Amino acid sequence: MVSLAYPKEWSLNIGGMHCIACTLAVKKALLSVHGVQEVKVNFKNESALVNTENTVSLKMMQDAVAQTGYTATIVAKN
Amino acid sequence: MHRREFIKKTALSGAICLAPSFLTASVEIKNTLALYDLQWKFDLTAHGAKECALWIPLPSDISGFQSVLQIGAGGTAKKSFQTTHNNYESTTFYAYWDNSATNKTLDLSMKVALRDRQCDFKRTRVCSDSIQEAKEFLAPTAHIPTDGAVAKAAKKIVGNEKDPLKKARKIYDWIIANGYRDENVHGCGVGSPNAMLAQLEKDGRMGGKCLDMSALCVALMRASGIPAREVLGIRVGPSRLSPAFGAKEDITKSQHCKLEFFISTLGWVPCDPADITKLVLKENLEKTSPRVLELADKFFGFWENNWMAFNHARDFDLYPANTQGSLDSFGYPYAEVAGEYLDPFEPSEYQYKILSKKVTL
Repeated sequence: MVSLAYPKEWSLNIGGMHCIACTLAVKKALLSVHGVQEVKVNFKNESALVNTENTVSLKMMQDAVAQTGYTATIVAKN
Repeated sequence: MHRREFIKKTALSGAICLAPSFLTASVEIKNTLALYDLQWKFDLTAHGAKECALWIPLPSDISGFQSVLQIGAGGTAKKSFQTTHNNYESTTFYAYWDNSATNKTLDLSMKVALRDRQCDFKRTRVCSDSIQEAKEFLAPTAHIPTDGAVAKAAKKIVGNEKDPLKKARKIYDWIIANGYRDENVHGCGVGSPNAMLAQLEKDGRMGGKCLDMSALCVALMRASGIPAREVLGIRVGPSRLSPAFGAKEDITKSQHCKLEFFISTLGWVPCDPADITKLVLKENLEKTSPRVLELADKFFGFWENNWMAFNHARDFDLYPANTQGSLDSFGYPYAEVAGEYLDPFEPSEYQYKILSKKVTL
């Protein structure tokens, strides 16, 4: 599990990944968003767990992920 | 596993006298044996107090071409073993370190004997079991579609040709004619036939590396009724034919994918269209030059003895199971740290080296 030390924890559904190497591209895209601290991407579950500062919005992450050719939709936010 | 353990698989004299099986009965052994000593060194210590797991593709015996004489392992893994427990029976070395391990190293050493694999295209008796088993390699997988754009392209390339060998040659020639080697592609490529065909449609030609070319060739052959499969492996030494096909002693980045297809009167036939596109780039040649035409002809039915095969697995599950799910191909060592995929092209995160030395018998 991702650490709970950050203000926001997001659970995202990632669409468009066709192999395990795609997790690297998605992770890189999410980490490029200012305020994203920690990311774990799982190919099998088509998911990403993301820890962020309060300044990060879902749209910022969706835009970053979309630029690499994938999609991100929210499953849960804590 | 703290001490080095060696598994002597077979006596060297036994390997030299290998008898061809039904599958390779048409393969004529002309060349001398080449013997290679390989050393693999992994170090995941930089990942500190996180659990790490490695799945490493290993070579297996291929009658008439490749014989694994010895495999040894050493290092600090808490658990490690060799297994073929997966859908393709691909030989895999597994190593695991829990989060208490401060030093995470693994050393593998192996001796492999290789001969040229040359199909003479003379009809031979192929047993019915082999023919039946080969039919499995007509089926699509997640990354090897045989419908849609692939089926359409296959039909256009093959036309009215009925002879399987001539169909295979048409597809092989078409890949070389329309493909080019793109050095910007990571590793061996992703091996997506649809992506290659989309690029061709858009740009009039298609760039990629060996897995891309081989996967497309395999998909087109399967769509044309010819069993085919990519074979992931690694270059282990210099080539007699061109520097483009060879490797030096550090072979860490020398992974290469070839392919083979099945003809019921010949067995499995080796070929390698991707290396012809590499030859064109590295030697700055025209595709119509005599040298390219000659080697393209040779590589339809040939693997040189400076390349070692790992497996023909695509879209399969590792054993023991990993966290990330099915692998699309298994030519590179696969690692997970705390369940996350480790980039094999990022040496600062994933330290490993593979060295190869040609030795005398």
